[in-house]
Amino acid sequence: MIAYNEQWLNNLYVRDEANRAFESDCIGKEEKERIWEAYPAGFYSPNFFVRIGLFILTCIIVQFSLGLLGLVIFSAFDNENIGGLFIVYGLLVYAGLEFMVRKKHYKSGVDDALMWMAAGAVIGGINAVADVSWLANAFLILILSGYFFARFANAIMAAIAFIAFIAVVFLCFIRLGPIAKATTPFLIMVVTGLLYLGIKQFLKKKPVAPYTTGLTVMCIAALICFYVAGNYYVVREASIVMFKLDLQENESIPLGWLFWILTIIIPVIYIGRGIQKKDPVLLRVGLLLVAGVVFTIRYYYHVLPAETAMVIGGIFFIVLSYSVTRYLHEAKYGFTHKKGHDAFLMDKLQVESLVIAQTFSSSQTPADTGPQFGGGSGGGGGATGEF
Amino acid sequence: MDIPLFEKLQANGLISDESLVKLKAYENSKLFSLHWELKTILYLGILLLSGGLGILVYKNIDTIGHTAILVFIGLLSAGGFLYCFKAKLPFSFAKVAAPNAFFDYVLLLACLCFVTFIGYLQYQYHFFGNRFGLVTFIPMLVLFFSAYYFDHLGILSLAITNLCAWAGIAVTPLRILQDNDFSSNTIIYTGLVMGVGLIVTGLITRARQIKPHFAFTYTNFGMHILFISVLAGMFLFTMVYLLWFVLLGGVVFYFYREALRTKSFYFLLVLTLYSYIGLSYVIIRILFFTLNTDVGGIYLSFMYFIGTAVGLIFFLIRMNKKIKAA
Repeated sequence: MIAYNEQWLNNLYVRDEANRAFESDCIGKEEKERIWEAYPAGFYSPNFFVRIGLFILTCIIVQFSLGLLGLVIFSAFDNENIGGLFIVYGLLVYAGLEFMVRKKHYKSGVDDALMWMAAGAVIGGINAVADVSWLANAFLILILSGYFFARFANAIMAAIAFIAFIAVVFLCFIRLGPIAKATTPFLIMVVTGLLYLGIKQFLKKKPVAPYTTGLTVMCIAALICFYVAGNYYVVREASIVMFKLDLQENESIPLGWLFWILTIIIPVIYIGRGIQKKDPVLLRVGLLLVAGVVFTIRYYYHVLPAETAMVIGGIFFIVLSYSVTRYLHEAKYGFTHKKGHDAFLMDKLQVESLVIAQTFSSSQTPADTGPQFGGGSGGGGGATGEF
Repeated sequence: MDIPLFEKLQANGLISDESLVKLKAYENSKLFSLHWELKTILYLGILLLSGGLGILVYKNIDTIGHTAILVFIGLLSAGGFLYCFKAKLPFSFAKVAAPNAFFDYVLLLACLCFVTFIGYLQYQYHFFGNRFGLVTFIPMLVLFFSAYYFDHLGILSLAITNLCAWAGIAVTPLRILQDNDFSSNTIIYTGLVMGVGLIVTGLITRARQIKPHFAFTYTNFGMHILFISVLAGMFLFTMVYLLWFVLLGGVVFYFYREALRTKSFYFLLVLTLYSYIGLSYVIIRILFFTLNTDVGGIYLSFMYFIGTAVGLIFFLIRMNKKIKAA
């Protein structure tokens, strides 16, 4: 099913493992080179920045080619069926994608761009031709993204396919009537929960290497969807907007207490399990969802003014981080506060210092040259790429 | 690590028995790193605390009184600096590691409080009278000093931002295009001088080995400011835009050499995109202003974009090979 040379993809995995083993001083340089020789991978995968450049340039080519094609066709045939043009063009782009993959492009920016452009053109074209319902659209996206994930193992496509699947389940189920509507959150939780466990099991059995990233992303999506489905804010506001539930300002939803418990307890369970199982995915998603808990509570109960909450929260975070670091001064129970072996791209580009400059810089330019909007940049022929 | 895989490799004679033993030992003693989690929480904490304190002060200014607030911020800053002076490792022109995980953040807090302190002093008491420049100049000096003395890249970025603010341009990543009025001559010339100055500073930093790891930050800021200023110059001075285009070519050539020398794919990408914007502007201008084509011009411009993008793709692919091989 996969478009890329499967043997090479598996070899890439072996090479990655060899690299990691070499970086943690477990194998020698000759051993690494021997492994690399024994497991060849002839893909064209350039450096990350070159990939960005190729992605942008390919997008420009695809868009202007579409424009040129449209100009020619519309002026020659007096035909204004934009949707049809989009669909046909999307298929052409897809053919181009298959061609480039044959040419050994793998994560080169070219194949990424062609994939997104093809999918976007087809979906956009179908929506322009006919009035497509939500359910049909979700179904369409599910099929397309599922196909692209299976064929190109793209991780973002995996996430989109997952969310589209949940959307299909949701939109189908609520058609069944009032009882179904009332039980939707539980159904979604059951479905996402089962999917999470299933994918997790599947990952344990070491499936083919190229899909692991996509499946891990699906796990993350499942964990987040599971939380969102039980979140008090989401359930309450969705009931009001989508099911016309007539609620007063301070009125709670049926079973409100249960959703409150779920809202608060799920992130705690994620974090707890994450620490217990040493599972970085669970732990990080759990930490992220703490923000969800805080916003949900603050939306309904104004216990503290925002600034006081910020100060208290800030102090709490600082103390928490400080004390955990202190506690792990020497590694305990297999945890450490020191950096792992994985080198981050973030380190190389010194992203941290840029984030600091952006978030903390309060210095305004002097008043006489102060902010004036509408400065003239980007006027040059519509080329993208302001970094 | 995938132990079954390495067992297979060992069976095939690709790795030695000792290596496999080492791998197994490593896998068994492997620690779970909480580094990024803890750092993110700490960063969030400082963000929330400094933001919350700011609002708190702003809202309660009538009851607390300006002097009390000023004293509090000043004390916080002084305390932070005092700690840093005590805790820091000996100064050196090479890279100096932070003595512990919190040092960098305490220094950041101290510096931020100092900037607020000076601004507040001026705003409330007009301490510097009408010499507004001093309000950004003094924090800038302190920031540069802290960046070098305590070896902190984040503070260096803040200091450069401050330097540019003092000269009259905003350069934080998200504001560089929004807040600057590039239709004024002064800002373009300031940008040119600033960009060149920063790039030269980067060069000196590396040549003299004065904190050589700071060089990238200088060059990076300088590069973007210079490119944007040159492009702005081209868009604004339409009478002589070709002259600016030549200037752009010079800058591109310089960074092309730099990219090759430092093997930097990042520089390569940046220079490609900026020069593409510049070239496209010139072509569009010639097509629609000089030659005054209409529909034919649209066709031509579309073909131009397709053709050049294809060309640039081949250029990037070739450069990728070249830099890798270098």
